[in-house]
Amino acid sequence: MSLNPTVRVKAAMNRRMITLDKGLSVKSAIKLMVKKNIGSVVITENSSNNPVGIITERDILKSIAYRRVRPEITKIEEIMSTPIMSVEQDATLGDAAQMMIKKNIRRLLVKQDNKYVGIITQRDLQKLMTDTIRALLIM
Amino acid sequence: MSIDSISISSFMTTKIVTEAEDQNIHSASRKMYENNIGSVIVVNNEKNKRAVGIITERDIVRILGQMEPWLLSSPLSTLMSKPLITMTSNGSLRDGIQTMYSKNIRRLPIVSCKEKSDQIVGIITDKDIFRVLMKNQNLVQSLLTDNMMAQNIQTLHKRFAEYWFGDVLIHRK
Repeated sequence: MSLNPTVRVKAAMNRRMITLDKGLSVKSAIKLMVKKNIGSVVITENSSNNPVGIITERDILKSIAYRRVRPEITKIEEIMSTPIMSVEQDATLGDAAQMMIKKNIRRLLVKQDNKYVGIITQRDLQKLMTDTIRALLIM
Repeated sequence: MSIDSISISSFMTTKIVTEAEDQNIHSASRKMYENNIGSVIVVNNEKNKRAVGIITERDIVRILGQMEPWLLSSPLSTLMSKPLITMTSNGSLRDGIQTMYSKNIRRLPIVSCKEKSDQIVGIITDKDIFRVLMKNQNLVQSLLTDNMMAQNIQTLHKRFAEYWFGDVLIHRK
């Protein structure tokens, strides 16, 4: 990403975090993902806004693969990914990309002063890059 | 190196994970999870492996979202995306990017350019495109420089700035 050292995570992150409580069913997470066309939901506890985990398409795939889940009954907390992985909003996109590669994850929550303010995904980074290239190609 | 001279076959993934069309969501999920991938190519039978469709992680979550238990035991042939959109292995990086965008897909199976078969020899994903661009920063740089010389430099510069220098612009507001 040395091409664009000035671009910070906060410029590319999604500020709308979609959340659910960890005590809800896996079914409710699946429904929300489909409805909002998103690949993950941030999980909170006790109706606070404090994230404790994240549930992703991959978590759901895994549970279905091994038939461990009955979506109506199984709680999100039983299959969600923990702990939260995060990046500071003033980090560069290159920092975020490297962290994702190192930890083999596709999503990072974004922090500002110890508060979670957004989410950034590997796909966001990819899209930025390829959209730019594509814009150049068609002109 | 240019975006036209990098061939698809130089960066495609050649390990193809397939599942037979009479299998179900559970087995497709298992194959994806065990191989740490987001899709499987659906083939008509395990022997001759003629590709007939594709099913992705997102498709599976959508199918689960319908909450119809019988879908879990339905054959993949009724749930997969078809027909399969493919490209030949002699295509360029540019062809790959353009096909993905024009068809709005993130996974593109590659067929051999030699024989007239629908034998899948590889697959490229949006992630592979990203990686190859990241690995070839010179290519990106020269692409930018060349295009910066073009006549519609203002539009180009604006679009580029919007994407890559967004936060600089935001700060100025």
